[in-house]
Amino acid sequence: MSEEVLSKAVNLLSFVALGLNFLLIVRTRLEGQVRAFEWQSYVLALLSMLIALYSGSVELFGVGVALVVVKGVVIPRVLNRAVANLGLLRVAVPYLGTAPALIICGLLTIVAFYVMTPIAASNPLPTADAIPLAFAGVLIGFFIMVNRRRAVTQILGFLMLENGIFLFALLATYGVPFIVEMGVFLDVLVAVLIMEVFVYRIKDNFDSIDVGELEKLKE
Amino acid sequence: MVTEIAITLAQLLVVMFGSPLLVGVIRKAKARLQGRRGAGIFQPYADIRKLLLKELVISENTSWIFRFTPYLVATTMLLSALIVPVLTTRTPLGFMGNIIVLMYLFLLGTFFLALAGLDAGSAFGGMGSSREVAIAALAEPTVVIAIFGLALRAGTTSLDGIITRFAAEPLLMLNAGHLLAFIAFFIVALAENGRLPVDNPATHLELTMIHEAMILEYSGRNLAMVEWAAGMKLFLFLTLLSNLFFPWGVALNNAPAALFTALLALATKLLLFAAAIALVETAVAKLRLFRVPELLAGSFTVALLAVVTSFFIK
Repeated sequence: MSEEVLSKAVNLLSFVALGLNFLLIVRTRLEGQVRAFEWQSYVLALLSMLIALYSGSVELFGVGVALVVVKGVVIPRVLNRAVANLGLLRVAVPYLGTAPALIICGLLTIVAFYVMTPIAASNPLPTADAIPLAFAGVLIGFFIMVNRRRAVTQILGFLMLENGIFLFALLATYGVPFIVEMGVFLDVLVAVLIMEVFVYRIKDNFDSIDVGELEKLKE
Repeated sequence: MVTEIAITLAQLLVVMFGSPLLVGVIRKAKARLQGRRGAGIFQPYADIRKLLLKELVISENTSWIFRFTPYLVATTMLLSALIVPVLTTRTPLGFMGNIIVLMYLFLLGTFFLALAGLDAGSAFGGMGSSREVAIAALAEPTVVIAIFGLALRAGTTSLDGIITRFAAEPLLMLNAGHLLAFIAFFIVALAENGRLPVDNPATHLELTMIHEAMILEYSGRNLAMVEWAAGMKLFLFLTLLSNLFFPWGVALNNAPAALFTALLALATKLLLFAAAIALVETAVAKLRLFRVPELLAGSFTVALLAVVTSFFIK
């Protein structure tokens, strides 16, 4: 595989990953949002395997496989279980509606391009062109986290943010060392499990998973 | 000269006689996916034959437009068949038209069909016409802009030129703009041809039909021609989708072997698209009419993004 092909393919796949970020905003039902995250994880796994193939790194290939298992299979399952338990609360309720949220994410993408294009230009790797896209993913992950009222979608925002960071590291340096990446995956997995328990607790205590309720004092 | 005439004829015949088969294949695939047996894939030919032999009934209140429209619609589709690179990039009339001419040819047919729908003065015809025109007005710009997304990267708006360029440099297609343009074009291809989720070609349910309401007054050979033209439009749209976005197999010269390969490649690609449409139509429910503009506005945005990304992402 030549450098040019890799560069183009990485650009395209990073773009698809960013597109899935936008899809999460458009989707109103939590199941659809979990699926958007699931697909994004698969795209990132494909990307890391592609780069592994190009650079001949076995470790990176392992990271790709772990990504499929942890973020493609296990975490979506955990989230779907949480969603199924929520019953009628399955619709995400953002602070901002779809259209303004999309506009803000578009602006964030422009900001990402503005900030990151010089950094990408100074990076000699063939994958560097897509760095602004990865950074846009990070920013949008942040935005999803603050925009959503319900705890489950905040978890999704956190996961998308984490995916963005992973992509960023992958593009800028062909990924961080294997052991670090595994540690991060484990952290994320545990974080999601803990957050799931939190969601249940919040629901039991307040009959709602609206985190706005947490600000109110109870007797 | 002789070969050019032969190619012209071949291209016309492929579009004319391939389109009922395409419609038949889509119906069959849909039936199978929905657990029905379905009619054979050659059923549309029999339908057209039946309609051609039937008596013609024309309302006394109609003007010449009503009788003229079926011929005009069929003619515009045949003309388009000469411009679209169906088998070869050396299309006989390729020099006289690019995507803009093609779009106006399609639109001319839609315009006259809408007039004919109003002509008989029936409530259904008018309703169908108004809906069809509303959707066409939203969908046509997307088609052109999606193709412009490709044209920008290929450096030409001629359909033949785009295919030649992409066939020579396949790497140009590994691009976000290509993907976005494809998504936008696929959605408008569904909308333009009255497929789900915009219009349901299989029902005559009064509240939901769009295209079928417009042509409700037609009968006999006029109906045969209008339906045949609708089939050809679908065929041409899917050909554009498969040849512009996946230019493999399109003949770059007029050698018989290349043309034969092109025919096989086209058949394979169309078969895949037919399967995709059957899948979409089985999985998706028809949109409420007032939500159709949202879908089309979405596809328009995607097409616009396809153009914008050509400047951003190399």
